[in-house]
Amino acid sequence: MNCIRCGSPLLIGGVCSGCGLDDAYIKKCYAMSNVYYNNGLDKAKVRDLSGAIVDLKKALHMNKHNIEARNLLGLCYHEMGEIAKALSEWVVSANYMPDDNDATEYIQSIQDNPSRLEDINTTIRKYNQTLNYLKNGDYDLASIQLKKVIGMSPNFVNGHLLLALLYIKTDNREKAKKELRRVLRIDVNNTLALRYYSELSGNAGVKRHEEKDKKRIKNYDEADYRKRDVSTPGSNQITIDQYVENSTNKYTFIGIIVGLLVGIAVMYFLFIPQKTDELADSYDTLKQEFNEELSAKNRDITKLQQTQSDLEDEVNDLTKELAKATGESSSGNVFENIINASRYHMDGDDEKAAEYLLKVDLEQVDSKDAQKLYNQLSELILPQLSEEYYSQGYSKMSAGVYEEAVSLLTKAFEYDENNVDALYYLGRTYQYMKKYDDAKRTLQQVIDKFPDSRRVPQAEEHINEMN
Amino acid sequence: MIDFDEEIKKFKPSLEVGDVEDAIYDTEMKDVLDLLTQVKNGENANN
Repeated sequence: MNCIRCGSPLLIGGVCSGCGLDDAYIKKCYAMSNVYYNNGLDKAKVRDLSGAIVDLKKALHMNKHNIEARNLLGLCYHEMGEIAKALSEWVVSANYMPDDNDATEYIQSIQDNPSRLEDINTTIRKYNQTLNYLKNGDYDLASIQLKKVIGMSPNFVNGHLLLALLYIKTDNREKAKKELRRVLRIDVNNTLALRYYSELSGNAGVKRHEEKDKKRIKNYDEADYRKRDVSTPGSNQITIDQYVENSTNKYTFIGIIVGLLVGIAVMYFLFIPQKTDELADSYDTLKQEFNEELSAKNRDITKLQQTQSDLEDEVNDLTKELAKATGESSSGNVFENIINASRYHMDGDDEKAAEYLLKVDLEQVDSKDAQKLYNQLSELILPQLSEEYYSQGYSKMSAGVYEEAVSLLTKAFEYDENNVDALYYLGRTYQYMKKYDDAKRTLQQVIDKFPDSRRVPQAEEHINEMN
Repeated sequence: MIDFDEEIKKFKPSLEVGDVEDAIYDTEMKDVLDLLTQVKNGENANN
């Protein structure tokens, strides 16, 4: 015979030669470990996880090599969202029995999914952070963080408990109860949850809950497997280990359907009309706000346009002043034009000088000296040139070369606006060319501009000829 | 009546997955039979 613990041979009297313990003690401890394991298993089956954990720990205190107990303990932790503790138990279990051990598969299933492992780590970190928030009195942050934790790990019992405690602290009893009910759905006999629930509901509430749990456990036992003794009279219709559908499930299902229908009806008759009204109100408010905003913007735009117009006027005025100050005009620099005219005159090229003089806009010139120079040059050059162009133009007209005559006579009048003969013969040339409109207009200018001239009666006569 | 501050103290930081290995090494795992062996060895040493 060998020792069941260390495998060493047993001596006479049943003492192990290896560990030195009495074989009877060892067997007793192993048996007690198994009893605790069975209790733990029974509790785990009815979701009394915290009760199961207590028993399974006792089983491991009796026999640390009880692989089944250790694996089940890990499963209980896992179910309560304590993944690290679960892993810890499974790692030890796999270490004691590397082959043919469910723990290896459990560890593998977690390790094979790195994203899940990361999620687990994140959840734990957030939970630990939440504890700090709570200790520092940051309840809002803690609440947000806890909701995230529970969202990531819905079975995390401690998370639910902490959130319930937070709700109790903020006097949100209904939400606290809801969280506690969630805890009790995961772990039906969770001591903390029951105590908090008791505080919130009074003893009656707890009793009701306990009765409900007992009823659920009873249902569980009766519904899943209904064993019948073969020899029991009247049991012919039900065979051994036959699965029997729980009739309460049907009622539950019908209840859910009815509840859904009622919910839809309530939505349709109460919620949707109310929401529609709210939306309509919200739409009207938004429309009004939008219109007000639009009006304000329009007013702003008008103001800005006015400002822009004022600024443009101001810019124009300033530009004019600047042009006067610097002598700039659309035909170039006024001073340069006068100087060029002067230079060409001195070079004997009066035609070129005249071109520059015609470019000068005297209104743009404030300088008296420049005006004086301009006047002197104009008096010297322009009448003389005008006379020359007039005599050439007259000759061309007489020779019947009307196009050239028009060009020369136009220049003659342009250079000297007092040259009434040039204007008169320009009109006559148009008449010869049978451009009667131009002719009448030009001759009318003679009458209007030079009313005392001897050419006026002649002009009138020719106008009458053309009418 | 639930004393929030007292209750909060009951919640300990959860073990992170990375710390599992250290936690296993730190835990002294002894069952009743280990204790009996220890007692027995102690008696033998005294004798």
